[in-house]
Amino acid sequence: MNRILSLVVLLLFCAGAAFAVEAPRMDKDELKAMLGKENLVILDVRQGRDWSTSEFKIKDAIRVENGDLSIAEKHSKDSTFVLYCA
Amino acid sequence: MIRSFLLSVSFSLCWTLSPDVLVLLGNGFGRHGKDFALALLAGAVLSAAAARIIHRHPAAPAAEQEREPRPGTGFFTATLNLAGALSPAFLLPTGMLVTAGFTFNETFVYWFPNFAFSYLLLLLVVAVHLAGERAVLAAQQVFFLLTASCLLLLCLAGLLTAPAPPQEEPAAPAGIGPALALTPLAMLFFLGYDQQLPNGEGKQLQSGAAVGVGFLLLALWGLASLQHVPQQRLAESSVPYVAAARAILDQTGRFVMGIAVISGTCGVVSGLFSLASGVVRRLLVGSRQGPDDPRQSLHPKIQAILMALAVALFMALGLAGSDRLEIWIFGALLLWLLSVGASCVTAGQRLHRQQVGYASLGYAIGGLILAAVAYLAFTYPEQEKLFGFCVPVLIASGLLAAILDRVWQKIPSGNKHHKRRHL
Repeated sequence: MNRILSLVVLLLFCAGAAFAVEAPRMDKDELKAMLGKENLVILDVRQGRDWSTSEFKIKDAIRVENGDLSIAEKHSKDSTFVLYCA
Repeated sequence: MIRSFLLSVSFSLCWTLSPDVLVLLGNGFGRHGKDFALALLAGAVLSAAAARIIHRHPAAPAAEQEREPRPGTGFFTATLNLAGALSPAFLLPTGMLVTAGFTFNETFVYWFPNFAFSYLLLLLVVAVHLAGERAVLAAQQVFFLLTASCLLLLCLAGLLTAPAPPQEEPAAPAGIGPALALTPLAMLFFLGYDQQLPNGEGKQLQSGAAVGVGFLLLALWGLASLQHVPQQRLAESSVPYVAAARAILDQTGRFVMGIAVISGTCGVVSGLFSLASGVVRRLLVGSRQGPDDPRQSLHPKIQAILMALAVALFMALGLAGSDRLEIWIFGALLLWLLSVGASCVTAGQRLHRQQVGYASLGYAIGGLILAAVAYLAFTYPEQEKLFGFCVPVLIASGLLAAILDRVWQKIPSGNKHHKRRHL
């Protein structure tokens, strides 16, 4: 898990409809501390080979294809959404 | 003899030992278990037969006397050759250089940007091509030996170590039928046997044997992977070769596989540049130039620079980050297989005209390859996008072939040799 987290170089922390707003960033340690918490939704937004050739994928992360973030609507607005893009 | 064989194998297997084939192979063994080895065998046999038709028979299109393009008669052949050589040379390197970049970043040096490493590798390949033909030949052998050695080491370590706990039964039905249905896919793995060596040793190319070497390496790796990684994981993983390497030798396995991926990427990029360069050169220049003509050595260098610029542009535009790239790569592979099938049919026609034996073999192999292309195209899940790529590429290749042919015909015969070099 440390290996996976060591590759998390950019994490955007968004909630609900605030995706378009400049979102705060978090580092791997912050995410690591949050893992396992309720209402944590990790969205892997890497596309194409950025995702497919990477050896490291966060367990239980939801893959977002073609930038379609509608998957977020299936979760409570109180959820914490973490977008993992690199 | 050994050097000639090594040279042939290193060019013929440049795509076969690439990371993209390792992904398809791992997923194939994961979905179909050991039955996939049967499909691999059938694909290898058909590919070796095609290689024999293309390279070995004196009347085959690869033979020296047939390389000279004949104005007005080789339009379709030229179109297919251009489409089958240029599209893989632009698209496969775009994808695999990015793969190698991620591999370097994730396996060896975390802080080094993956994209920068991709461009460094591309620069390395261009430097090799600018250094001249001998450097290209030597580098190709080094890339092959490094990749094959790493894979062989992992295969032996995987097969000789204690077997993993029993796996779940494969979900796919077992038997000859599924294996036959997978043969067209397996035929894609061995593309490269149609290569003409840059130094014109085409007639001696031992591509049939090279296909055999490729089959052995892929089959051993597939079986070793099955022995150490649960089938379902192999089937679902986007990097099954890393999963298998890690399961076999842990961190050492990752490093060894990392070296194989990076050297395999260099091999496929350099090999495809050579293939495309050879096809274009034969269409533009023919075989009339004397071997001592200094301009003869200029074309591959210019072409390598142009192809590298196109690949660099594709990477900069983020094509590798788009799912379209995978569809386009599959389309490029189909066009490559299509050009090989057409070459076999053409060889059959020539053999028939000359009343030489093996004509029916040329027709049969060519027909089977064309049927395989049709099967792969019409069973592809995203057909619309696939044809949306292949049709424009064929049209563009046809236009390019027609322009070249028209220019060639307008040049006075006494000046053809000289002027054609400036096309």
